[in-house]
Amino acid sequence: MDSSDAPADEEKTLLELLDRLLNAGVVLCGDLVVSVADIELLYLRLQLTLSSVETARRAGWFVPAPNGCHDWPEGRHAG
Amino acid sequence: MPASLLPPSQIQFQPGNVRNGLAQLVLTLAELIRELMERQALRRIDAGSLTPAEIDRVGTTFLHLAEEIERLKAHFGLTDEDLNLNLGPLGKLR
Repeated sequence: MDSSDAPADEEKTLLELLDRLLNAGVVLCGDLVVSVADIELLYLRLQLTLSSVETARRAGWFVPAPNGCHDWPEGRHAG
Repeated sequence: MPASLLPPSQIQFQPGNVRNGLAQLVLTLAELIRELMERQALRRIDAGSLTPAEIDRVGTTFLHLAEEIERLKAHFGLTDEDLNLNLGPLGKLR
């Protein structure tokens, strides 16, 4: 593939990476147990979703209303 | 020379220069977020999902934001390069 439309020495920057990441959307999941002196004290379940609003809307995660308030899709709060 | 081969940039806090170190740190983040938002706004414009009035409003706001950051940069004697950290193996920030 000819790469004439991209400068050869163009380097990836964190900015570009974040820009693309927002476009695709990412979900980070993690389980964490915090122990003190071998005694398990805290349990943390993380589910972080990060994306552009357009991507979130396409995926049905998020439906922004024209007035700036947010309506979550049906069933989001169920259970 | 690729950015990854240069020594990493530093944000330096010196006893007599705390204000500038703080300004560099905060402005670096502000500039990163501003440019990221600007790119996202351009994507929205390219996708045709913004009305002409919205494009006008968002354009004016980004212009004012850029001007304000320029003013703060000048005030603290910071250059564009000061706000574009070299993250070593991660490349440049912007």
